[in-house]
Amino acid sequence: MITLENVTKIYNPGDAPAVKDLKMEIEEGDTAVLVGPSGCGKTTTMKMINRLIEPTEGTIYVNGEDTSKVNPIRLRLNIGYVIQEIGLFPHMSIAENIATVPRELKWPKSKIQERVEELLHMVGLDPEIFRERKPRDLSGGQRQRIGVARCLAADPPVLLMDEPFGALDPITRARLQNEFLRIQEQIRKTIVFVTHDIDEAIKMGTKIAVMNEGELVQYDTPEDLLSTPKNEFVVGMVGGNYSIKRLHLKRVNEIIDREPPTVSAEEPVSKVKELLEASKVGVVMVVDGNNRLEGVVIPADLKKSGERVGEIMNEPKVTSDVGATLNDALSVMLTNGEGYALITDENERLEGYITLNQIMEALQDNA
Amino acid sequence: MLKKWGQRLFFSLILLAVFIGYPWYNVMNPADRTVARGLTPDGVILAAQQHITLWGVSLAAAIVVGVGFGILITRPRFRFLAPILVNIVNIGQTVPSLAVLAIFMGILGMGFRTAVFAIFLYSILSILRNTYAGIMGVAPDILEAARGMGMSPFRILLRIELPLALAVIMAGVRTASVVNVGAATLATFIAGGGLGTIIVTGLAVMRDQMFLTGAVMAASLAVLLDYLLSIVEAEVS
Repeated sequence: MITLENVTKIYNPGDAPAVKDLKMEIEEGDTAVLVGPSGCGKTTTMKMINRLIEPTEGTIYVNGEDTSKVNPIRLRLNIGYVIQEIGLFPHMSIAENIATVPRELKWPKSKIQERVEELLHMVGLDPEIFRERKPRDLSGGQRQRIGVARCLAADPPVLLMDEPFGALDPITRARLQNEFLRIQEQIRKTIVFVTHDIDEAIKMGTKIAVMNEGELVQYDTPEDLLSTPKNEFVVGMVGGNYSIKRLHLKRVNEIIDREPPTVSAEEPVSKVKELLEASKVGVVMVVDGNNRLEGVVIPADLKKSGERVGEIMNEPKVTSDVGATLNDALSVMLTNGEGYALITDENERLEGYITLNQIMEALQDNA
Repeated sequence: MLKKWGQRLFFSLILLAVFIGYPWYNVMNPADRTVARGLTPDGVILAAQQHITLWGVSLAAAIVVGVGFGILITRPRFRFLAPILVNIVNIGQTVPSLAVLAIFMGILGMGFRTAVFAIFLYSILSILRNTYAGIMGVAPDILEAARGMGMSPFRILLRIELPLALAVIMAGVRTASVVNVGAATLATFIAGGGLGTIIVTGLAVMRDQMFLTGAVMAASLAVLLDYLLSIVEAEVS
């Protein structure tokens, strides 16, 4: 889908090349993550693909076409582009922002409007609420969702993403990453993704390109990169204990226990007592008739006075979702100081739970 | 919304009432024959018309030229012109407005046209400078996003740069407007007409009723026009 042939970029004659003789092939449907320290040439490489930067030497093919022979405006209209945090147009509404490329392509109004609705639904924002808002009225995470929706607007086959989740807090970032992986599963775009965070690279990529000083050091699947790092530099990036990094590769749904001990809030406290004694992790989940998570009960709660479970239960804090990586789930556990994480779907319905022990076992399986 | 517009209408009407009411009263109640001869209804209306025309024509021309050149010197190809052009206009601005009028009288002769041209030149600066600053002030990552998504330079100018710079440009237009109303009172010295005529004549014959009429009209006109432009500014930004 995207081929880079001996691509070199020298900004000023006499300077060391920012990108040196790069050869790379990105297959259709792949998410190729360019990762490396700042100044390694990853952003330059990405921007050469849509000709925001012109290569000094070499040829880049997108979909078989030599990009230097295509009108750059036409080329870019067919490549989605997201940059870090902002880049949203502050004077335009959310709908207008998303409609940017369709409007450049002169789509009819009704088609644009339909597409905006569809995309807002896709990124999980209610069109009725968000359509007319301005970017400044949105949180960082919501703005980033709009950035993703905007780059998908004209359904381009290729997406370029420059640290799209860089400026977010860790919890929001993990959530958006999971959402984006879910979306990508449906849309199957060819993606070039730039990040300096190796953990993000392992989580998001189907291929990872490690770059250093303008050169491609290693280009492999995340699994191969972790198991057979090519040299010291790659080892330094992924860390010595690659089984720990594998936590980014495994998903919660691979090890989830789908038969959690549950009670309803109406049941007597004696019922929960039995369940707690039988429970491996010392927690019982309280759900309503729709399996929606309402609370948790731990042994200490039994000392409270009350006859019904609802009177003694606590807020469920340690929650994660099925798309999350084991690393995400583990950090939720560590943050809350608990040995378990409750897994819910997007409607807060309980899917199951995982324990610290399960994560440890998963680690040993891979070692 | 309704309250906001009601308020705007109210203040505009008060300023308009001063602009019309004060000269009206003085024309109707002249203190002596000298004032009666100098302050005729036709004379006052003509002076006001000339003044508004001096202001309007020179400001419109200054907007076209100032915004035009302001845009031009932000284009990469012409950016080298920016310091040169801004400096020339800056120097022009430091010359007193009466001197500018005198210089152009020497070149173009007396009359209304010369006055319009001199005031126009004099008011370009703030519009040019603000257009330049407004466009250059658009965040680079916004421009890069626009470029990366496939907008052409012209479309970026039209849909991103100008809308985002509009508030700053409007502030420049307001400054120019105030400068223009003031400079137009001097047009009378080169036979350009305007409210300055009433002031200067009133001073010559030492009738405060007369020169105050011209002064209050010029002052209230400046405030009224600035107020109207502030409404435009608030509506576009």
